[in-house]
Amino acid sequence: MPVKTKSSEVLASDASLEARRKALFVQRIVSMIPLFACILLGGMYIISALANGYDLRIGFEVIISNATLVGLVATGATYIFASGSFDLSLGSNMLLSAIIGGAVGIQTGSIWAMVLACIAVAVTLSVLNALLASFFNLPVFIMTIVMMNVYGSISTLLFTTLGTNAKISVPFAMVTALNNTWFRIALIVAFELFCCFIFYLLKIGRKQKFLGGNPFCARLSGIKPKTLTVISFALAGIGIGLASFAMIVETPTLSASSGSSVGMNMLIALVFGGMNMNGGPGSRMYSALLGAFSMAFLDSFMNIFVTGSWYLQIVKGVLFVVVVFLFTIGKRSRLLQR
Amino acid sequence: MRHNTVMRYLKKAGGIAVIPLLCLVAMMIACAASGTVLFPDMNIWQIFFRGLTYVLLLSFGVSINLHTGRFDFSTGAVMLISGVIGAKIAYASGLGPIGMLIISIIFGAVFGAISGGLYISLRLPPMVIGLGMTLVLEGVVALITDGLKPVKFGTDASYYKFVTNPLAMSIIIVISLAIMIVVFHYTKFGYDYRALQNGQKISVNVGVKENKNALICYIISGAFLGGAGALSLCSTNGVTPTINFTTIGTMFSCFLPLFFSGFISKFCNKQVAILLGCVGYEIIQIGFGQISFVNAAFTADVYKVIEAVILVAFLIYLNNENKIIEIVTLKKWLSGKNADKTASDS
Repeated sequence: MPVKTKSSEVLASDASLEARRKALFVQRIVSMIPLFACILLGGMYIISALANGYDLRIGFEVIISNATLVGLVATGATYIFASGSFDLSLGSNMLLSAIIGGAVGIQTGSIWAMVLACIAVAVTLSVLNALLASFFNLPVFIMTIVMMNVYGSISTLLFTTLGTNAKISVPFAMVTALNNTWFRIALIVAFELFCCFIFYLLKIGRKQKFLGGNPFCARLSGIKPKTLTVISFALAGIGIGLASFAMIVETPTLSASSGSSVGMNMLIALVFGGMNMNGGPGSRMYSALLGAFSMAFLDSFMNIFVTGSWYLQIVKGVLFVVVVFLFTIGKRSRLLQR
Repeated sequence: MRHNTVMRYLKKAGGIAVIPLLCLVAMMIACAASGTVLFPDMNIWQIFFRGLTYVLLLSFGVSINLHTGRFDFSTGAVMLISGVIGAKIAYASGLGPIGMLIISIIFGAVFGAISGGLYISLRLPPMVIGLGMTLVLEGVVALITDGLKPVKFGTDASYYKFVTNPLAMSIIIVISLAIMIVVFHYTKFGYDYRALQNGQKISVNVGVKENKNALICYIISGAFLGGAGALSLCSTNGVTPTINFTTIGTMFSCFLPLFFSGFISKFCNKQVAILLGCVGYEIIQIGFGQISFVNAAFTADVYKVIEAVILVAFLIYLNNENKIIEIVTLKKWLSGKNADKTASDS
C-alpha cells in the first residue's frame, strides 16, 4: 500500500514537472515573439522594397534614423518602466532639451557644449518629474500629462523668444559631419551597451526590477524607492538628452512639431519589444531597441503600399492592443485592471 | 448645540464657496493690476457660460473613469471623432446645433461602448486600451475628413450662436448635473459604482457585476465627451483635425476643475463640487483672457504654464494636506510645547 502511494506521488510530481517544463517552454516562446516579429517585419519590408524597386540602402538609412530617436528615448525609459513608474512627458522633454541645447550650441559654437546642455536639461527635467512624483506623492499619470503640457508650452515660448519665425536653426556646418547613419548606429549601440551594463551587471538594475515586481517586499528589503526612482528618471534623462542631440544633428532647424510623436511612439515601441508595462523582473533592456526597429520596419513597409500616415496609425493602434493581449495571455485576473 | 449646528453649516458653506471666491478675488486683483476688469460687459457672460458648459461636460466625462482608477487616454480622441461626425451629419442635413449635439452624444456613447467593450473583454489595463483607441480613432478621423481637411460650418452662424447663448448653456448644465446626480447617487448602478470605487475585490465578491458597471461607465463617459466635442467644435466654428496623439492633451483642461472639486467635495455632493470647481476654473480662464487683451506678452502658452503651476501646487496641497496643515499651524511645535508645559507642571 505505501509503495502504491509513493508511486502515485512520483507520478504526480513527474506530471507537475512536465507541466512546469511545458509552461517554461511556452513562456520562452512568448518572450521570443518580439524578436520573431521584428525579423518578420524586416523581411516583409526587404521583400516588398525589392519587389517595388526601392533603394534598400536609402530605405535602411531612413529606418535607422527613425529607430534611433525612438530607441534612445525608449531605452532610457526602460529604467522608469522597469521600476514600476511611468512618464508621458519624455517627448516634450526631448524637444525642450533640444531647444536649449541648440541655443547653447549657437551661442558657444561648440558641439560638446551642445551635447552637454542637451543631456543636462533632459536629466534636470526628468529628475524634476521624479521629485514631484515621489517626494510630493503626486499621481504619476496626471503629473506627467501636466508636465507634458508645461514643457510643450515652454518650448513654444522659447521658440518665439529665442528663435526667428518660431524656429531655432543650428548652423548646418556644426552638425553636418555627424549627420550620417554610422554616427546614429554608434550612438544607439553605445547607449544600449551602457544601459545593459547598468541594468544587468550592476546592483541598481536588479533593485529596479525588484521594485517594479514587488514594491512592498523591495521596501522591506532595504531598497529606498524614492532614491531609486530619482536615479531611474535621471538615467532615462541621459537617453532623452542623447535623442535631442540626435534630433538636432538630423534636423538642425527645430520647430514646435519636431519630434512631436516620439514620446508616445516610445510607449508603443516598448510594448512591441515585449516590455511588461508594469515593470518587474520580466523587464528587458533590449525590448526598446527591438520595438523601435519593429516600428520603423512597419512604418517603411506600410509607406510602400499606402500614402497617408493615418492608415499606419490605425494599424499601429490595432497591433498595440493585440500585442499586449498576446503577452498577457494566462496572466489576466478575475478583476478588471485599473 | 444650536451654536454648533450653525458653525457646522457655516464651515460647510465656507468650504463650498472658498475656491470659486478665491479664484474670483485673485483674478479681480490680477486684472486690476494689469489695468483691466474681470467682467467688463455682459458679453463676457456668453464666454463664461460657453467655457463653463464645455469644461463641465469634459470634467464629468473624465471623472467617471478617473475616480474609479481608470485612466482613459482616448478622451480627446472620442471628443474629436464624435464632434466631427456630429458636425458633418448635422451640417449636411441641416439639423442645426441641437441636432449636432444629440448626434455627437450618441456617437460618443458608441465609441465609449467600444472602449468599454474592449476593456472588459480583453481585460487589459485601461491605459493600453486608451492608447490603442486613441491611435485608431485619430486615424478614423483622418479618413472621415478626407486626410485631415478642416471641418467647418461655412456661413452658418447658428452653431456659434448656440454656444454663446447663456440660456441654452444653462439648460445643458442643469440637465447634465441632474443626470450625474441621479445616475451616480440614486440608482443601483451608482451604488455599485461607489462600492467598486472603494473596494473592488470585496464588491465583486459580494456580487457586484463589475463588467456591466464598467461598460456603463464608459458609455456615459463617452456620451458626455461627445457633448463636449460638439460644443468645442461649435465654439471654434469648426476644427482642423490632427493625429499623432495630439488629442491626449485635451484632457489637461479638466484637471484643475477636477482637483478643485476634490477639495470642495468634502463639503457637498461630488457632482456639485465638480460644477463649482469648473466655475472657479472658468473664472481663472476669463481673467487670463482679459489680461491677454491688455498685455500682448501674456499669451495662451504663458497662461498654460501658470495654470499648470496652480494645478501642481494644488495637487501638492491635496496629497500632503495633513503635513502642510501641521507646518502652517505649527501643530507639532505647539504640541511639543504643551507636552513640555504639562511635564513641568506635573
